[in-house]
Amino acid sequence: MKPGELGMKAALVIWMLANPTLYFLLAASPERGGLFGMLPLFVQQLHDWLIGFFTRAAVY
Amino acid sequence: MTTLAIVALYCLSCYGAGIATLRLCGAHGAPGQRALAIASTAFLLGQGVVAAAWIPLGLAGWFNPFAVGAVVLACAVPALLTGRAALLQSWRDIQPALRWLAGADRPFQGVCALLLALWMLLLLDAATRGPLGDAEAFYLAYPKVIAAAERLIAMPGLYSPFSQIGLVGEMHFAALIALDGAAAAKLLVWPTAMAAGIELAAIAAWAGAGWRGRWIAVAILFTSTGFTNHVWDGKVDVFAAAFGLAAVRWILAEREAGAPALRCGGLLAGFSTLAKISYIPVLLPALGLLLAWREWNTPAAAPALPTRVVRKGAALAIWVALPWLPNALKNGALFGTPLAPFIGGDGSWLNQVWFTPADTLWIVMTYPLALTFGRYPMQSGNVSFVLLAFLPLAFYLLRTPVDWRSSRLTLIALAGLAGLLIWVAFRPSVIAPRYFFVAIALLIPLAARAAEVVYEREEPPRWLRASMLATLASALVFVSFPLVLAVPRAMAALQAPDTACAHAGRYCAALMRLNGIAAPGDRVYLAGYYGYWLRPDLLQCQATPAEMRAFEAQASAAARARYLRERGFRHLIVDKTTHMRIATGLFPGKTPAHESAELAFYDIDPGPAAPRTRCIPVRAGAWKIEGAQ
Repeated sequence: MKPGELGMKAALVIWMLANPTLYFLLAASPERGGLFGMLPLFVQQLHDWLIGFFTRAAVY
Repeated sequence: MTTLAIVALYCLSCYGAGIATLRLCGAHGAPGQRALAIASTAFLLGQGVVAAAWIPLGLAGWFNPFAVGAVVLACAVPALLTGRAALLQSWRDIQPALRWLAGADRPFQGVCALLLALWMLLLLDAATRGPLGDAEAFYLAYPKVIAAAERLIAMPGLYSPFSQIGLVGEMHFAALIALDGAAAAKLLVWPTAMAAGIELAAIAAWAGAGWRGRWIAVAILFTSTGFTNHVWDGKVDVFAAAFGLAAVRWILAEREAGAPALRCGGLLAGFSTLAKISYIPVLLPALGLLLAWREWNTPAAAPALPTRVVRKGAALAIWVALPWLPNALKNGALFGTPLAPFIGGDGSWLNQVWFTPADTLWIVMTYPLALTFGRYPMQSGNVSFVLLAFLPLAFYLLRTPVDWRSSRLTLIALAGLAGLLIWVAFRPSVIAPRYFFVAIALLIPLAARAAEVVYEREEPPRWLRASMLATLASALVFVSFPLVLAVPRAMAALQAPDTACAHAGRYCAALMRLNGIAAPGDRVYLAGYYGYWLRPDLLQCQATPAEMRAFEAQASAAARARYLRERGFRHLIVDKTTHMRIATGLFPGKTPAHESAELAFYDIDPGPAAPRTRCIPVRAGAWKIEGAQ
């Protein structure tokens, strides 16, 4: 396998796996209880940091 | 079981009406159409036709269970007489997909097993949960009123002007409530969602996707919560998406199938825009682009390309307009404005702005991420992250030379992109996939086909294949997870249907309690949005928009309390989360008759004088507000 192709493959793998990870971190707020409630505190902190990029207060 | 049987009969009825319409369009034996896709289109087209039939029946006041049942049976007859062979052929069409799956690699079989499980969970949830959110405000509350009144009337209360929208899903809900109940109404969305899946798979197949690509396309569709949330919540967005996808498929088939495909696609596009007005600026330009592109690729000496495109576009426009005629009849009869909500009606809700300019700019700058991961108010679901994850794989398709002009994948993706860009340009702050889902769905075949090619051609080590499987599986698990948690509640609801509130929204218990207290025809002032759980007579006797405006215009709390007494209101319901200011100081020292975290309701003592309005029965189930307006 050529180095360029390997790099592209690695980048695509990282991109693909980043998507479910990000989705999980945004959905998995421990404050929601249940299974998420068992997660360690840093998941909550990551969630709190990330959610700022993906929500705003509505004016409607 | 009775509910399931009634929904099955209703689906058969829609299928029968659709088969008859396809014959009328001349599209029944269209070349290049597989039986399963024809059956799916017949079901969807029939839904549009049956919904249109309910409008005059409702306006005439004949919307009773006997008349509705008779129409349903009459429409089911053609399905039984002439559509049976086609249905059997459709089943034979499914078998190759299953046979292919049986021979596929184990990990991919696992992904498809998760998809099948998700379908079952959605069915269970649709049967037992909700309605929730907007469905409690309008989309199921309005059908409940129509079914009880046995007549198509304007929605009483706050949402009266909103009744000017096209009614497709709402009329089916009303018919199924008349025949059985709200559970049956909500269940109709599930087969409609499955039909949307079939249409999308057929579009992907037209674009060159094999069985794996089609399975992936359907998996992306069903892991988009902007789509699946509306399979169970009692809203009507899935109807528009399904009609829209079917319209696209028929316009794509226009070159092979000719004018019948144009008619069929036009009708379906009309029903789609009728079911969701926001599809007008999204779907119609996309269809225009598809038509023009296909003409561009058709070798013909004369007439010139622009002439051909204009002619076909005009023909398409006529067929798109046809489904809007019953809506014009309805708006003319109920509001005196046949062209509402565009001309003459209260179309203020057409121009929505959800966020400040700064926040809207942020949304536009992050658009694909905002669609996929956003947690914005009113967003109501996301686009599947599998779509975002797989789209870059399209670069692998460029390894073989591509003839852009004739590339079907490019054409479909461009049509979707055009619809999406138009939406972002005109309504940048409305970041809700349900408003333009068909445009997003048209991007799916490109991602699915690219994933299929990479999956099948990747040399070891197969990291991409493993990542694709992990992404697909995690998406299916994430979407299924909340539905799995709901299974015990769903089973309990199936065993004891009387405990409906245990599986419904937070307004159910409080409003059911009021139902037990209020006398028939009591006037109710609903200071809130979500009235579905009120008794149908109370829903019909609630405050009119004019009364609400007059109430809010009163100078003081004492004047507002006096106004309520004068108008004969007996109950005030206050949604404390949104309308608390209305109740402040209204009845000093008076304890609410009921109070929960969300709702408070007050009994209003009648004043010394006779009330200026009262709500009277006009016939069984139908109520009318009588008195000065």
